[in-house]
Amino acid sequence: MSMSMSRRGFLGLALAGATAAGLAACGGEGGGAAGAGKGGADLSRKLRLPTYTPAKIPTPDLPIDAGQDPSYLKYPEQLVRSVPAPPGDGSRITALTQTWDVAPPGADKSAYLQELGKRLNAQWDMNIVVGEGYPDKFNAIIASDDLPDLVWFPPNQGLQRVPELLEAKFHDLTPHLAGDAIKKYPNLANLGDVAWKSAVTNGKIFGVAVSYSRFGQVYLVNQDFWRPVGGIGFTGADDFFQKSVQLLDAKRNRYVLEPAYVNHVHMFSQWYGAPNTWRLTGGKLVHQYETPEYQAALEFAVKCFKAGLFWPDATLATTKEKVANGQLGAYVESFPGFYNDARTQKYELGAIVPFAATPDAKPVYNAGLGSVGFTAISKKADPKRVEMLLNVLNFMAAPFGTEENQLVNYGVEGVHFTRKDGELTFTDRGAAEVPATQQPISFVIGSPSAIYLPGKPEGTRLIHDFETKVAPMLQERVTTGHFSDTFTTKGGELSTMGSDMVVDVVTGRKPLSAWQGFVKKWMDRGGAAMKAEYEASIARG
Amino acid sequence: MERPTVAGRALKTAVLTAIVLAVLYPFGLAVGTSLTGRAESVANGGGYVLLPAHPTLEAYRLILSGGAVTRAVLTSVGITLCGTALSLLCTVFLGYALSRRGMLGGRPILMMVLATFLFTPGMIPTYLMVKELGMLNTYQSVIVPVLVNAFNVVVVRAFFQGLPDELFEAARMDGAGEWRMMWRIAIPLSKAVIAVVGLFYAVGYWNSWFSALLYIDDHDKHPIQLVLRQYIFRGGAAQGTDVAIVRDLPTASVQMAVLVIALVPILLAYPFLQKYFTKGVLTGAIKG
Amino acid sequence: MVVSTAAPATEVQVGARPQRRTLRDRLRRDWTLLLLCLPGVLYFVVFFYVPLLGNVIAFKDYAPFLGIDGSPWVGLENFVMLLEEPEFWTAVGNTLQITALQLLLYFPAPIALALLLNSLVGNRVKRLVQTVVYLPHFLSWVVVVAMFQQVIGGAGTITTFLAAHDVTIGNLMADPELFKLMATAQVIWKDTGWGTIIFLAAITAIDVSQYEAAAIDGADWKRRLWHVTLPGIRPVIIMLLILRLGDILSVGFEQMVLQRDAVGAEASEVIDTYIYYHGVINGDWGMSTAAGLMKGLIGAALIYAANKLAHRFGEQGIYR
Repeated sequence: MSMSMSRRGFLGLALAGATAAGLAACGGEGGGAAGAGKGGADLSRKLRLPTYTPAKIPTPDLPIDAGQDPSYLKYPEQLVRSVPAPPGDGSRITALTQTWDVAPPGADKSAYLQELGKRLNAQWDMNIVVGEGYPDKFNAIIASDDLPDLVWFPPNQGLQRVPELLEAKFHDLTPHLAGDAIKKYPNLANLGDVAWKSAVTNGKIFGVAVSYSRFGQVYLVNQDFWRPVGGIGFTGADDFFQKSVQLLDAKRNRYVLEPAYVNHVHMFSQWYGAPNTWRLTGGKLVHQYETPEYQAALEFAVKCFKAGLFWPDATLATTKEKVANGQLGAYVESFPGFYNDARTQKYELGAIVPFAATPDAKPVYNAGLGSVGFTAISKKADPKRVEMLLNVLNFMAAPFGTEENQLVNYGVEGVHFTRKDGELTFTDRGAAEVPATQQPISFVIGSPSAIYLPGKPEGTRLIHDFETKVAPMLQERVTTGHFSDTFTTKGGELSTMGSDMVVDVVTGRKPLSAWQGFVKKWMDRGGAAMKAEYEASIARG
Repeated sequence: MERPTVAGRALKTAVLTAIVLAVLYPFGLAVGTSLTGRAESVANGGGYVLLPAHPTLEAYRLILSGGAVTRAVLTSVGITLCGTALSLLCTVFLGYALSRRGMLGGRPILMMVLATFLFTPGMIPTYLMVKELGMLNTYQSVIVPVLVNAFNVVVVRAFFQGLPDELFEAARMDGAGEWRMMWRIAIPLSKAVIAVVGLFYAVGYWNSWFSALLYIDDHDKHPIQLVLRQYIFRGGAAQGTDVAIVRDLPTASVQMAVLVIALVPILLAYPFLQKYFTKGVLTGAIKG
Repeated sequence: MVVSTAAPATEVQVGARPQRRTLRDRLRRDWTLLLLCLPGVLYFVVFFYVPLLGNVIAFKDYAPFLGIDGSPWVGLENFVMLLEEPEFWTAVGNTLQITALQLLLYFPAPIALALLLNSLVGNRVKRLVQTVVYLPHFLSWVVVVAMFQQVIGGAGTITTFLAAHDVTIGNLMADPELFKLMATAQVIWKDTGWGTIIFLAAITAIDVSQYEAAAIDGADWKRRLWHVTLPGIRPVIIMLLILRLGDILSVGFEQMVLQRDAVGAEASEVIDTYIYYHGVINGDWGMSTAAGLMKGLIGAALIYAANKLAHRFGEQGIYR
């Protein structure tokens, strides 16, 4: 009775855990700018990215000398006011966005939205798509030409011809944002140049970058699990393997690795010093699949699988519970997922810092994109409105420690949260209104990462400590901000091809010896074209 | 009917018991898990629990608090009732007409219906049509675009065709037209299939969420399945925000509570329909 | 559906006059019926045929913001792209194998269960069993797969229990060889009960007097089953079989994706997942539409052939 089957969009449900945690956090291929598109490479030209100008924020409690996110053990006493006057013009601002949370209460019932409206002098009106339906709704709205003021462009979601779409329907914001022009919008100037790279298309800035952690995936553990072998310091891949085997107890359903094979290979590849997707040497690119380092990581994963270290079923919806009760040893999370677990998990959380797999390996830590897409402004807005909208986004992008940020993230004191001993606590009303409203906002406009976990200073320390340790081995993605036509037309397919093969090899369905053949096929199917296009783009600067 | 043999009965009982257990056990798991609290779920590795030691209604409280779910249930009940009624009318009308042999244009119309079983129009053209008709953001938008299902038309038509022709002939002698024959003969004798098709439609409307996602922006108008999906996603959400509430509920129990909530109305409605397709309608008397 | 199943349908015409009538006469005769068709036909035109015109994007390089008119023609490129990859043919092979297994193992299951239920004497047991068996249909695939995993997966209850007693059965859910059977078993578990409903309805349409007549003739339950019940629901069985053939190239997309990692793409790639991973995921509307058109055409051909075959056996089929 196939008629009653709905097949659309179920993916989010199936993979809720994976997708929700972080779009930009996938370990494999993905992660290029959505803006890269057909013809984009040709048109790409020299562009001055917005000048990074750090905003004034309260002094962090922990050092930021190595490029760590500003970290606060307690909520700052003195907040900064970053926007002196309400930026709006009293009109209604519409935005298309998504949420993975429940729908927030409407403006008539929400004290949060009412206060935000007052402070903005504008009505903030979001069309919020629930979960995985975003690309469908996006395309339907584009096709019907009912564009709201602000449209969020997600990365990696199979949106085609983005450059032409942007040229046709959205404002080129380059004059407003490039170089020093951005100084008019100090909170936007504070977003950092890594984030802005993804908002560039055809050599123009077509949107405001949606800021997201620039740290990538993290290998998380329950410290109690590893205590019998002396914790999570490892001298090499063999040491990790030996200790894992020691902890394995299949008869009592106790395993070491969650079954997300591709993510584990990504973690292992950092120990062997594989590139962050691409390696650039002398203007030439090498894909990670081609490198001996990645293959060594793969081989190590095969060894782990053979030893039975992975949870025996390939999908597992209850990883966190199994880690909590000691049935699982290690799992991979996105960086915001790290925040979340540091705040919510009751076990003693730990993060494995990449180490040298072999004595001559040079361990790395792969950076994330620093953004989760960008938000473009519809051409229906006239030039004056564009400036107003940018001013409103500037308000919403205010960094941690400002009054504006407090409003966006916590709501109104006394109504949504209370302050006691330097900690903020949500009231019932706050708990019902704020997170559900803030999440869809965070896809339209974000603020740079800052670490503050209410009531969990030890979590803040843990994250800060991890950032301090991985900062020296941070490996950026060399292709960020560069364009490949093939990536947009074939990226999703190539990525699936890669992850299918990795899973097949790790689980022993295909021998390691088949890898070289696969790489050749992968190159023929588009990998080589992607490489050439990126090389050309990089050569142009 | 004479009694079956003892061995036969024993075998039957065994088979049926096995089937019922194979079905009931997972549902026991679903209900049990929905009543499981955090500590117990963690101790259990997050897996399904048949009989929680300390049952709690926490998952239900979480989902039902705030009134969004209650409102969505009412919305869905309304959509399901209206939609099913409209769909049934259109389907029975069409199925009846097509079951009459020799009807003018009957064959082309039947072919036209059958073709819809094979192809699917794209999402965007359908969206544009809904928009063109001014139905965006209305309850109609989740009913009208899926009003008639070719499969159901074909099924209803086949049942009508199976009715003895003598009945219609007799009615025609009495001067009855097609309209009257449909209401007086075809429909009363086909309650079973109408109940079945009605159930198909009702379940379709009750379970649908994608049309609402696409056509209805106003979250206050969203049906139950779309709202419940949010509770399932919510477990994994960690995007962006620096603040999240410490949610003390295991994903599995919320997921199962969602399942139970969505199932209750169907369980309640089923017995009313069931009586139509469990007893015979044609007796020798009618057949004459 | 009833006694007259074997009788050729053309025997009885509405109005029982075989000679040609004028259009006017027929209009006058059939206007009620045409009016009855109107709402349904209108629906199909507005929400099926008009939007279906959009399927020309199978021959275009479509982008939503350009619209259908604005997108450039690419001829058969979308079809060629689909057909030239060897993986596509693996997917076709898997799809056909799974459908074949389903036709063989799943399709008869609801019929058997309906007959079994029908043979129950006690009405209360009958209703109870019925109420229970249709439930799994309402579980999403995520839950179904998770439940199978919880019982027979690598860390499943049975697997662990056996392992504790030193019996290794391996992970039945991660065996590519077993996968197609496993997928069929999942469908059987999920939808058998739900599938019985339509057959139970068909059984109610059987004239009770036939059973009485058979009983008088001294037929035991086996013969009644064989000579009354089965022939009574045969037209429905055949109709559903033909409709299923029209849908032969679609098998549970969601079910396959959920188990892709466990058994690998080679065992679980079906046409719908192929289209997803090679078209939809890249935002390639043209290719997915092209695939849909092809599936529809093949389905149409199969329905046509199956219907013809049914006629040859003296059955109604789904149309004449």
